[in-house]
Formats: sequence, C-alpha cells, structure tokens
Amino acid sequence: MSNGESPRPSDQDAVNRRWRLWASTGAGAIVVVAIVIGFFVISSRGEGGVTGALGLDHVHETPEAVAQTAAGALPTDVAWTAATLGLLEDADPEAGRAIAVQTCASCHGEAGIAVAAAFPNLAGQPATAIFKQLSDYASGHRVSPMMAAMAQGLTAAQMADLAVHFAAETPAESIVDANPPAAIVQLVVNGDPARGLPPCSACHSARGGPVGTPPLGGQPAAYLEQQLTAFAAGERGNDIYGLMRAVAGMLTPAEIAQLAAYYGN
Amino acid sequence: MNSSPNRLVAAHIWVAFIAFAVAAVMGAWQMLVRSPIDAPLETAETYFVSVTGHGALMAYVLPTLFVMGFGYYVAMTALKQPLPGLRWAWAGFYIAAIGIVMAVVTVLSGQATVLYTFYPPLTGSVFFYLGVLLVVVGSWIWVAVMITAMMKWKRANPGAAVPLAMFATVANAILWLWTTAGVGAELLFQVLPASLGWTDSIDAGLARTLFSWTLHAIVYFWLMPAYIAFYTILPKVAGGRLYSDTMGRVSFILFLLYSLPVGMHHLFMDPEHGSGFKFLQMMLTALVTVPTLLTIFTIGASLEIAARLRGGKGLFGWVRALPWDRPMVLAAGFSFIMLGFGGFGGLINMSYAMNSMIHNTSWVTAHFHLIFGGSVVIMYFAIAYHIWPKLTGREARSLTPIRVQLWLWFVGIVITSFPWHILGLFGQPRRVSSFDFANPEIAYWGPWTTVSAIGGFIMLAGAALFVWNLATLYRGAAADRTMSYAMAVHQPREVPRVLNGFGLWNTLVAVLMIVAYAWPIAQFFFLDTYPAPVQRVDVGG
Amino acid sequence: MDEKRIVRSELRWVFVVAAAVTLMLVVIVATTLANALHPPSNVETIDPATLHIAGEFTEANLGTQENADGTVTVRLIATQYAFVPRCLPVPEGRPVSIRVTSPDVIHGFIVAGTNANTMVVPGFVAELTTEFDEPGDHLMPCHEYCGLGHSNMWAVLRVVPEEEWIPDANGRMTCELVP
Repeated sequence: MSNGESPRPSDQDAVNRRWRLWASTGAGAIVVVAIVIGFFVISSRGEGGVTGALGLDHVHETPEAVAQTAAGALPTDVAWTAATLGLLEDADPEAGRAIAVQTCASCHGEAGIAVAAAFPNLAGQPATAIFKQLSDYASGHRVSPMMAAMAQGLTAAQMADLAVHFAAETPAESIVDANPPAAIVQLVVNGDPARGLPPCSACHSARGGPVGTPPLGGQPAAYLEQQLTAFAAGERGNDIYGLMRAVAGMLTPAEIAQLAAYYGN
Repeated sequence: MNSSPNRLVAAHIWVAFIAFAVAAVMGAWQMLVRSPIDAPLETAETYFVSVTGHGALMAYVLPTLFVMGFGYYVAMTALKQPLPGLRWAWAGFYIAAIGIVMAVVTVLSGQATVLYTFYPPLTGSVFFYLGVLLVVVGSWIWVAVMITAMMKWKRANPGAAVPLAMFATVANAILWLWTTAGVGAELLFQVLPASLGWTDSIDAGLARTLFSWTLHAIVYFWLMPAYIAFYTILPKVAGGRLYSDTMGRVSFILFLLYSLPVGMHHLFMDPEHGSGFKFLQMMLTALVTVPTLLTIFTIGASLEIAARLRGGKGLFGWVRALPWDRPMVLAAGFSFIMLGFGGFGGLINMSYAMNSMIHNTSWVTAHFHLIFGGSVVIMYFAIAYHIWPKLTGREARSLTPIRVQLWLWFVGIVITSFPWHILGLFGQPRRVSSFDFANPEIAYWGPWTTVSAIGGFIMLAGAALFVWNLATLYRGAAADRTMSYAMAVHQPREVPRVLNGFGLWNTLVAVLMIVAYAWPIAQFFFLDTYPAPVQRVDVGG
Repeated sequence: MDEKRIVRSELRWVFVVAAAVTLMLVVIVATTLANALHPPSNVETIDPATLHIAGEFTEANLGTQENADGTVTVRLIATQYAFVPRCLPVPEGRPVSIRVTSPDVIHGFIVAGTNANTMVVPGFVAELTTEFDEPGDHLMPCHEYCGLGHSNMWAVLRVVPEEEWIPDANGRMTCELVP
C-alpha cells in the first residue's frame, strides 16, 4: 500500500474516465430495452398493443344485458356528483329555517330536536345525510307516506336549504350509557370479524365517515331500533349497495335493541 | 468548534430518536393488537391512530431529522470550516420541530387517521398535512445549507476533491430535493385544498402517482447516512482504509440517478397505469441494485484491508480478524446481513409478475422493516454512538451496553420480520388491526403472528436501551472531539469535475424523470378521469 | 497497489454486477411472459360518484356472470366496509375476469394463495383475468387501508367444481346456487 497522500499522474488517468457517458449509456440502454419489451413484446400478448401499454385502450364494451338496469332496483337517485355537492354548498340555511318552521318543526322540532322518540333528531346531522334522505323520500326509495308527502313538495334546492339549516344546529346531547354490555361496545369499536361486521363507529361517528352517513349518537333509541329492524327485514332499502341491509341482517334482534340503546337516548 | 453548532447537531439527533422511541412503543403495541394476544386499549381506531403515528414518526421524523443533524455534523467536520448559515439551520430545526408537534398532536387526537401515506380521498385535519409540510420545509433549509457549505469550500479550495463524506451528503440533499417534489405537489395541489374545504373531490389516481414519485427515492434518502458511514467511518474504525474513493463517488452519483425514476414499481397492481410504464420503471428499478452491489465490493475490500493489517488470513478467514467488539463494525456486520435478506425480498417486490403474490401483504411490511428498520436504523445507532463522544466530550463508560443494544435490535428485527415474510406468502394483508383467528382458514397465521410480536418487543427493548445509552453512558473519560474520516488507499487531491459536483448529473436525473414520469402524470390531464368525493375523517361530512 | 489497479478491479466487478442484473431482468421478463396474469393495467375510467345509479356496477349487476363463450366475468364493488357481493362463486379451472371498482376510497384485495391481487382505485375499473384451480372457499381480504372498518372487510371467493357449477337461466351464479 502506498502512503496514499497523492495519486501519481498515472493514477489520475485511472480516475479520469468518461463517467457521465457510461452512466448515461447504461441508463439509456436500459430505457430502450424496457421500451421495446414493455411497449411491444409484452403488450402484443393480450394487452392491446402500444396504445394498450400506454393505457389509451380503455374502452370497455359492457354487454347490453349488463348495461341496462331495472330502475326499481336502485337504492337511491342521489349521487355525490359535483352538481349535488355544489347544490349543498350554495344552499341557504335561512331559507331552510323558514321551511323548517312551517313544515318540519311539528315532528323534528324547530332546531332539529325531535318531539317524540319515533322521529330522528336532525340537528347537527351532516347536510349530505339529510339531503339524501329527503330526496329518497321524495323519489320513493325510502318509503314513508308522511315524509313522501312532505318531501315531494320540495325542490332539490329547498331540500339542500333544509339540509344545511339542520346541519348547522346544535346536536342533541348524547346520553352515554354508564355501563354498556361489553359485547355491544366491542361491536361498536371493533365490529365482529367472524361475521364480517365492521365497527359501527367506523362510519357513524361524529368525526366523519363515508359521505352521506349519519352519526348516531343522541338519536332516540326507539327510532334507531325501528330503522335497524327495517333494514334487516329489507323494508328499508335506500342504502347504497345494501351495506346496512347486510349489516343489520347479521345482527340478532337483541343486538339491535342493545345497539339502539347504546347510541340512542 | 464552539458548542453552538454541536448543540445544533445534538438537537436534531435527539428529536429524531425521541420520535423513534415513541414510534417504537407504538409499533410493539400494534404487533400485539394483530396477534391472538389481547392488547390493552385495543380498538380499530386506536390501532390506526397508532399506525399513522408510527409511520409518520418513523418515515418522516426519524430519518429526516437524523439526516439533517448528521449532515450538519459532516459539513463542519469533513470540510473543517464553520457551518455557513448557522442561524438558518436553527430556523430550519424549529420549523421542523413545530411541524412535528403539530402533526403528532393532530394524529393522536384522532383527527388524521389516514396513515402516513395520506390515501386521499380520505382527508384529515389540515394541521397534519401542514405539520408534515413544515418538516419538509425545515429540511429544504438543510438542503440549502449543505449546498452552500460545499460551494463555499470549493471556492476556498479551488480544484480540490470535495471530501467523500460531504460529497455524499450533498448527493443526498439533492436527491431529497428531487424526492420531495412528488409528495409536495400532491400535498399542495390536491390534499391541502381538500383539507381546507376548497375542493370537494380528489383524483385518487393522480395522487397515487405523485406519491409514488417520492415513495421509493425517500427510502434512499433514509439509507444514505448508512452508506456514508460504510464508506467514510467504518474503514477507519475497522483499522484500515477505504479501498476506492472514486467508486464511492460513483456509487453516490448512481444513487442520485437511479433511485428516482422507479417509484411506479409501487403501482404495479394499480389500474390507473398502462403496462408500458410499469414495465419501464421496473427495468429502471433493477439499476438501483448497481450502487449497492458496488458498495458491497468496495466496503468488502476495505474491510479486508483492515483485517489483513490486523493479521487476518485466508480467502474469507480474514473476516474473523475484524474488530467485532467495536460498535461500528458490529453494526455494519448486522447491517450487511439484513441488507442481504432484505434485498432478496425486494427482488420479489420489484418483479413485475411475482409481485402479485405478495403485493400489500405482510411480506412488504417485512421487507421495509428489514431494510430500513434493520440495516439503516442500526447504522443510525452506530453513527450516534460514534459521534456522541465528540459531541459530549466524554467517552462511553462501557461498550457492553452498546453491544447488547445492537444485538437486541438485530435479533428483534429478525424475529419480527422473518415470520412476516412467511405470513405475506400465506396472503396475510398488511395494515389490518385484528384477525379472526377462530376462522380455520387463517388460524395457522396465529402462531407466526405471535412470534413476530415477540420480536417486536425485543426491538422495543433495543430501542429503550439505545435511548438510555445515549442519555447516560457518555460520562466516561474525556474524549478527543476531533472527527476524522477514513482515508482512501489513494486519497485523491483532485478528481474530475463530474465526480466533484452535481450540476452535470442533475440534467441526467431530469431526463430520466421526464422519460419515466411525464406520460404517467400527463395522462390524468387528457384522459376522462373522474375525481372521487373527498371523505373527511376529522369532521362530519 | 496503485489506483489504476484498484479502479480496474472495481470496473471488473461492475461487469459482474451488470451480468447479475441482466440475469435478474431476464428471469423477471421470462416469468412475466410465462405468467397468465398481467397486473391490472387497463386504465379504464369510470365516475365513482354515479356507480350505483346506472351502468355496469349497479347493485343488480354485481356478481358472477357466465358469458356466452363459457368465460366468466365477476363484477364487484369494494366499498367501505364490504365487498359487494360478499361471496363470489367462480368455476374451477376456467378463465375468470374480475372487474372491480370503488365508489368511495382506495381499496384492494388479494385472494390468498393465488396471484389474484389488485388495487381498487376510485375513478378506475381494475380488471384482472386468472384461473382458480383449487376448489373450496378462499378468503379475500381488503389489503389497502380504507378507513377504520378496513380490518373487517373480507369476502369469500368460492371456487366451484365444474359439476356443481349450475348458473341460472341468465347465466348468473351466486353462492346460494352452489349445492
């Protein structure tokens, strides 16, 4: 080993190589080979040629039988499109309040706190949730003669006004059960893996969840039990992709009652 | 050196390791939750809050702050000049520290349970994203200071070869700047506007693509301090010299070049990209093995020099003659072993077809814990042990607790990650809080998961002992504060310009990034893509 | 040892490395070409907000459909926090195309022990075609974090032997129809 302080001139030659050319050539060669294989060789084997490999070949022909949908089978007409979300953003809570005083207050209370346990509290519910249910009543996807009559008299903009009005009100205080059954708490916070039941709180939390999902805390227990039972029996079917029908259908009547008591007042 | 710059280094490293210790507790607890054993506080929400915290602290805070602190130290000791912009450096530190507190409080309060990978259209509190962004901004100041320090040194030493440790540190700084562009764009143009309520939908495909830009290169940013230690500290500690300074430079340049245009190998199973660019980036991914394989040769040769100087004999028998009692050597040995296994696992991940067996299973978790948690973090430990006497002015009272700690970490990570690989092959999905082990189809996962959890607690013990060591061990004899780096067999005075700076290389990086990412990003602007509605996890919606 | 020899030895090693990398790539390309399953790369866009209203992914259309040519298409929704339908019958040893998308957030699935694996990204339909050779129930977990109910999102893929594969008159097959 040399003393290592300074390379001799010949050593300098050893270091003076065309490093950049080599690195560029190496990378360039790999890129060319990859393009040849990725865009021509592989894509010729069932991935739609070069356009397929670029992701441009994306027209899928849906069989006609599949493309047509029986209208009656739909759970709802509401979709969270930019138009729907825009309607809610532009809505006027004061206009909503005016309608609420006239139309809703006798059951749901002027500030959205229901007058009887058969009716849900609307105060503090997400505007998306209120809007969807009103629309579904009007279109018949959620069945209630009384609510259908009310909702059918409203325009979509008025439903949005009502939704943002109630959403802005202070929600009912949730009366927390001091000693809830452990199995019920388990269902709420962890679900039941054996049955494929997700935790209730994953969607129905005041903190947020899938768009249009109501938080459940502080609702009248009787109302919650009635709705879960209706989902389980298939009498209520305005849940998208049948999620609540499936979940409620897996719960026992006793669990339904206890869950209603856990969340409800 | 006066004490203030030392405090700067120590402050960064302490924040990094405090974050690490907190995240280690979370990690061990998560292992327990996943196992058949009951864990305290076990709910779906606490689990995913913990996963978000563990990921953000381990991926964003620990490596970033460590790299920054170590970088400042290298800039002062390798260049032997005061740090330019010391005030800026402190400002960067405080910006990052504020960001960390902001993000951690937000995560722990359950306002941002979106994991450290963000996963829009899930959208949490804006303070989480701002916190992460502040850490990045703090690190950008570090990048500026590193580049300034190197330029200043070059002006003062015209024509001279930039010391390898600093050359590598600046390579990492530039790599980091390129790396953060992807996630930065995702945060600024997609996630923050949604989180502020300015937009109500997000193009999830574009977000995944931008994140993939960052997702692989960031790993090399994490890795670089380990490689800097391999090249510039380890050969000296082992009692030898660096075999080739030139090949060190070449390796660090290749890391800069090849670790960026490869992120789409994380998207093999994604529907938003055609097969062509997936395949192209897969091929480019193969190139990132080159600098690592070069390093193994160069460091192997350097260690052989050391061993033979110590009387080592035989074709491979010299390995026994290395001073394995020195923490840096021991840690490097462990690091190489884990790099070997982890690298092998990584070959499966990057393989276009085989990846479909293990994508998003525990195999992936195992892979990056072995590589990052194992090979890289154990070198963070070794670096901290190595420079602590120089920062504190006191030697360690004993090396035994240090050796025990390194063994604990190595054994812990092996016991954790080997069963994980196997579970991944069984198809165990990652990021699942609890399994129905009563189901006969997956009941046999239970024992493997339990073994893995035991490994997690051995790692936790290693983490705790590490912090204890740093805090209490360095009260021995007065230490020499001079930091010196390994000399090469032929220590160069001058090197060609291309091996002494990065201006020329950045062009090549830009070309590769355009080839690899221009189309995959641009397609979202001319295909009829449909953004998904934003889903808030922090406030009702 | 002079620097020239050192650099030359390193460069010789570079050739070894290049050979190793090339060999690795050859193996990867060969397995890719030999493998029946290509990663889902169809880049087919769809509006996630209106999936349930009209088109291919309405509730009534989901599930297993035997096509005229004997191949089978499975239409599937991954949503918080379930796969719809929850049980997917597929025939043993026949090509099966799985078409899946999401109305909400990112999901994914793997069928343990097979190469059926995909991400499900809202805004895109992922399509993968494969064959299942092992009759019986296979678990199909969601493998990407999709929210707090993620851990409970599991479906069952039921591989049905040919003699038990009796779809209804419209070519529809459900797990209830498996004897």
